[in-house]
Amino acid sequence: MALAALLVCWGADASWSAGDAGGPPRPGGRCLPCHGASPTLEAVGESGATASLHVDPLAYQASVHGALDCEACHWRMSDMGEPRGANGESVDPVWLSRLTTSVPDRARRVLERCAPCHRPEADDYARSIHFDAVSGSGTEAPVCSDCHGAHAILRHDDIESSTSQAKVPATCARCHANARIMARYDVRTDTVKTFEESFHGKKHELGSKRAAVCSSCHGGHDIRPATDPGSRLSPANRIATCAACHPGCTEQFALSFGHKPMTAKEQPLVYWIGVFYRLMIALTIGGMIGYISLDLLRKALSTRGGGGSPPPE
Amino acid sequence: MKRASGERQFVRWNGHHRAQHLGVVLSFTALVFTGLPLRYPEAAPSRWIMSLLGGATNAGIIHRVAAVGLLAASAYHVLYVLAMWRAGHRQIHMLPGLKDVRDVFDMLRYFAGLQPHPPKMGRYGFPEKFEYWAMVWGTAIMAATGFMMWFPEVFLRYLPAWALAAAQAIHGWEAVLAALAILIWHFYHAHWSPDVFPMSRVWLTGRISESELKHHHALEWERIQAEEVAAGPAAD
Ligand code: HEC
Ligand code: HEC
Ligand code: HEC
Ligand code: HEC
Ligand code: HEC
Ligand code: HEC
Ligand code: HEM
Repeated sequence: MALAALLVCWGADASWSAGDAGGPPRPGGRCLPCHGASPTLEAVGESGATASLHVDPLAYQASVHGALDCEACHWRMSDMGEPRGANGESVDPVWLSRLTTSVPDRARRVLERCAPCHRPEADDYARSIHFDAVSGSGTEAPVCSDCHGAHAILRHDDIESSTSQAKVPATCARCHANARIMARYDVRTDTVKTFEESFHGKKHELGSKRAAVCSSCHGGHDIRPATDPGSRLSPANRIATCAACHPGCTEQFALSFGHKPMTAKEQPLVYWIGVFYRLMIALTIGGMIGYISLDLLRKALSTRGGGGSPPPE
Repeated sequence: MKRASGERQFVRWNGHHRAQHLGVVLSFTALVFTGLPLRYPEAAPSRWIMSLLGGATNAGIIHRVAAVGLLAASAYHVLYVLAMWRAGHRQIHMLPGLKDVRDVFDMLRYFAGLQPHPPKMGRYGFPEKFEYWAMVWGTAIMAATGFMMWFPEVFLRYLPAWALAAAQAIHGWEAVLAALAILIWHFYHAHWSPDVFPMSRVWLTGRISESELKHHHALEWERIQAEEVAAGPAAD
């Protein structure tokens, strides 16, 4: 399939690249006629795994990189490894990174593609625990395209972007709420749930644009464990991180959030307040309902009808 | 005293009473509708309310304005009670006493058919007193914890971080308790009970009919009768 598609690709297709009226060449012109044509276009790796080769032309052109040619990132395709077709035969070099390159290699390559134009973000990312992981054996940690996508990247102030304030929790949750992935790295899986239970999380759920999300506290790129001195949440940096939105933040205030679940062990006071109030509510409201039921019953049974009892003499 | 629809009417609440009640009605309703969505953010009604109010940030602002409103109504009430005290009204009808405990048992005995009549109650009986003091206590708790959530940076200069978490928990739970109590207890006695359905109009007109007064506040009615006898024949 991949092979067949490739052949057509190189042979094609003047009409897309030149635009309909023979205007200036459209971005992606050499590649989109094939990669944009069929959503089912895919490559099959040696293990039998598949990777989609489809790029949605409209989404691509609406993206921040819509004005770039594919070659801005996929330049010198021969750099990008030696992929093989469905039957293991050698095919023309094209980027089939997920299928054919090792994880550290993929990370390095994606970083290389993006870094020339996004130096500060790439440098920050290169210091992160995520990059540490992918450049070692951490197959599941994110590279740029895992958080941003590759061909439909939107500005982070666009609400539809995977890295907008509205969507960041869901983007991080793909891995951080996934028990299978997190267990392998010994990272807690309840960080998303505890965020959702927090004041920020609840305000965010209700659509607040100002509430902190994962990346407001952890950063998007220079993410380190909170125990690491380089983390924005290290004891030395945490106050400044919260103070960005909470002027007058003190040491104790900065400790007022840390993903603590509301269990008897982690937050005994909050837990027992909950137990106490559940009991209070059950007793009070139960008592009220009981009282009202008896009152209604008495009124119904009373021969004097709906007017209740007569005035006492 | 005035007559309407043929029946004698008594003044139960004057303008001050009604103004205080209205202040609490408006501010408490606003607090419930802007506060509870934050406690149950996934619930569909929470989203409707938020879009109606123009977002979570607006709701937070309205909540704070309403909180000030509730405290203003409370302050009005306290000042009014003090002023009445100084003017010589030394009987505080809301003070609970042993009689209220007896009344509860008598009422239960009446429900069970063990006594023919409900207990005679004064201007305010145990249902009103219970609610009133729950409201006083609840407002104090909500105000204390609410101000901690309003100015967390300030409070955490003097308190440890867990105090804020506790304040949030108490504020949220007490809100549920208060809202349910009003919805069930207050609405039953003031709206849904067959005695007053569809609604007692005291909070609007301040007036109560003689039969209702006799029925629910027999001692108050007797007291007024006694006063009238002492003061000579009624004017009308
Ligand atoms: C902004 C940089 C960028 C541009 C521009 C770009 N790509 Fe990509 N593309 C990537 C990245 C990054 C990956 C690798 C995704 C991964 O491994 O997560 C990729 C992967 C691919 C793949 C392989 C899919 C896979 O999972 O291995 C195809 C096919 C592809 N791109 C086609 C195109 C086409 C066609 C265009 C032009 C219309 C284009 N790309 C433009 C960044 C880009
Ligand atoms: C763990 C997820 C994640 C990874 C991996 C990631 N980013 Fe980001 N990126 C974000 C988030 C979240 C934002 C939103 C802004 C913020 O909070 O920093 C962002 C914002 C950006 C921005 C816009 C910054 C601005 O302020 O205008 C650029 C450019 C960017 N990322 C590029 C990259 C590049 C290049 C890489 C790879 C080297 C990368 N990102 C890797 C999550 C990620
Ligand atoms: C040829 C240069 C170039 C390359 C290569 C490139 N970008 Fe960009 N990117 C840009 C430009 C230019 C913009 C700004 C578009 C704008 O501001 O409207 C941009 C914008 C972005 C944004 C949105 C920034 C924001 O404001 O939120 C993200 C995210 C991003 N790029 C990620 C990537 C990633 C990930 C890669 C690698 C796969 C990459 N870019 C590769 C040029 C590039
Ligand atoms: C593609 C999966 C993936 C995505 C998406 C992802 N992460 Fe991670 N993250 C990981 C993995 C895997 C680790 C563990 C790395 C290790 O310990 O070697 C990790 C580690 C972390 C750590 C350090 C945990 C610790 O204390 O050891 C933090 C903090 C973190 N991620 C935050 C984020 C945030 C915030 C986002 C979203 C902006 C995000 N991650 C998105 C996979 C992901
Ligand atoms: C208000 C700031 C804030 C927000 C928002 C936030 N975090 Fe955290 N996060 C922290 C702090 C503080 C710690 C360190 C906790 C500690 O001291 O143990 C932490 C720790 C973590 C850890 C490491 C846990 C461990 O010890 O293994 C991960 C993973 C993490 N956060 C992920 C997330 C994700 C995912 C989100 C979004 C869903 C998020 N965080 C939102 C402040 C925040
Ligand atoms: C992106 C901005 C931002 C950042 C960064 C941020 N917060 Fe917040 N935080 C908010 C907003 C907005 C609110 C809601 C304020 C409101 O409307 O009452 C909030 C509310 C809170 C509250 C609830 C206060 C209350 O009323 O009970 C706490 C506690 C809190 N933040 C702690 C933290 C801590 C601790 C950090 C740092 C680890 C932090 N925040 C970082 C924006 C932020
Ligand atoms: C009397 C003074 C009160 C003050 C000063 C106060 C203050 C606050 C503040 C500052 C918040 C954070 C709200 C936000 O940022 O959006 C809050 C939340 C809340 N308030 Fe109040 N409030 C008061 C009374 C009440 C009352 C009477 C109710 C309802 C009966 C109520 C219900 C709630 C609820 C449910 C929350 C969400 C709590 C949570 O996080 O789970 N509040 N309050």
